Amino acid sequence: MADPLLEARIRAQRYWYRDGLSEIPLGIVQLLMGGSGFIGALGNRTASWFVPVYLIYTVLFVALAVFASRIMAAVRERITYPRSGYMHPRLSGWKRHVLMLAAVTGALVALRYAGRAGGWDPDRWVQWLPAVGGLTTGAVGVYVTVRYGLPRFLVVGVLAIILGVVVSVEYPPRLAMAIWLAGVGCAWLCSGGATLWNYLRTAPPSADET
Amino acid sequence: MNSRLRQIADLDRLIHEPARLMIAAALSLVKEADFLYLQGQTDLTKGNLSSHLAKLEEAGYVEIEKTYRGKIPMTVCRLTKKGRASYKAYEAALRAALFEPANGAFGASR
Repeated sequence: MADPLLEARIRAQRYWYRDGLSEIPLGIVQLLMGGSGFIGALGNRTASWFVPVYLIYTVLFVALAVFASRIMAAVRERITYPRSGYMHPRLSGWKRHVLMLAAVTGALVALRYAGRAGGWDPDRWVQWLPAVGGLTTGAVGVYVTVRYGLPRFLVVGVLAIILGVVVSVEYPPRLAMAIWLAGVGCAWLCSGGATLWNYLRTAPPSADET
Repeated sequence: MNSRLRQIADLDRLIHEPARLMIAAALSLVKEADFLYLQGQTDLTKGNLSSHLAKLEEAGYVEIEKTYRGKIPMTVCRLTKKGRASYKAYEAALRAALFEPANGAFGASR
């Protein structure tokens, strides 16, 4: 028998993915990380542009970390709330971020220990990092698609897996990671952008009381 | 009486009504939400949603705050402590009645 309360929960959670706004910041962060990786992998560290460009990247990352939640709240205030209504999640923004960071750190530490226990060569482990990232993104894509019925996450997940395996085989570790991050970042941006465009087209803002 | 039927009969009637159950389920997942969000989650008409919210507010399950977003009036709703506890108890009782194995083929008689 289907669980009606679980269905209500899933319906409520789908709210977060309706407008595509959750994918866009993720895409921007991955694209920036990929760009920073490109500079590190390909750039000449003694070149005159190297330090200023790295400084700009550092400022961008700090600004993103500090202002991301405020920018997202302001964007949702103008785009999402007038169309789909306002809701405040039970966990505050920083608590969710801490939980996500803890989960990612835990997964990386677990992988590292599993690698040591398995006697893997660290260089080969780093070489396959984009493939591992691709598989993780793919797993998240499958989960979100199955649970919430959102196939765009499966498309990004499959792309992340293919790109991760290809760059792990074809390129040296740093460049491979940079290409993978930039590629998956672009995929998230396209997915989020297309969803947002469709959302703005199909969901007019409510002029009445909300 | 069949124990499963007894469990269902003992459910909180105020929450058990389908429209109010949808409202309580939607509000249980968030800290607070506005009228438009609840309408989207429940597919109820404005009148229906208003009247069920009023009943939940009367029972002390829901707190309603009238405010403004820019120049547009906004109704923010949240479950009270009592409402959240009642919904939790209801959810547990319903799950037990629907999904937990009964004693015997049709549940034990009392």
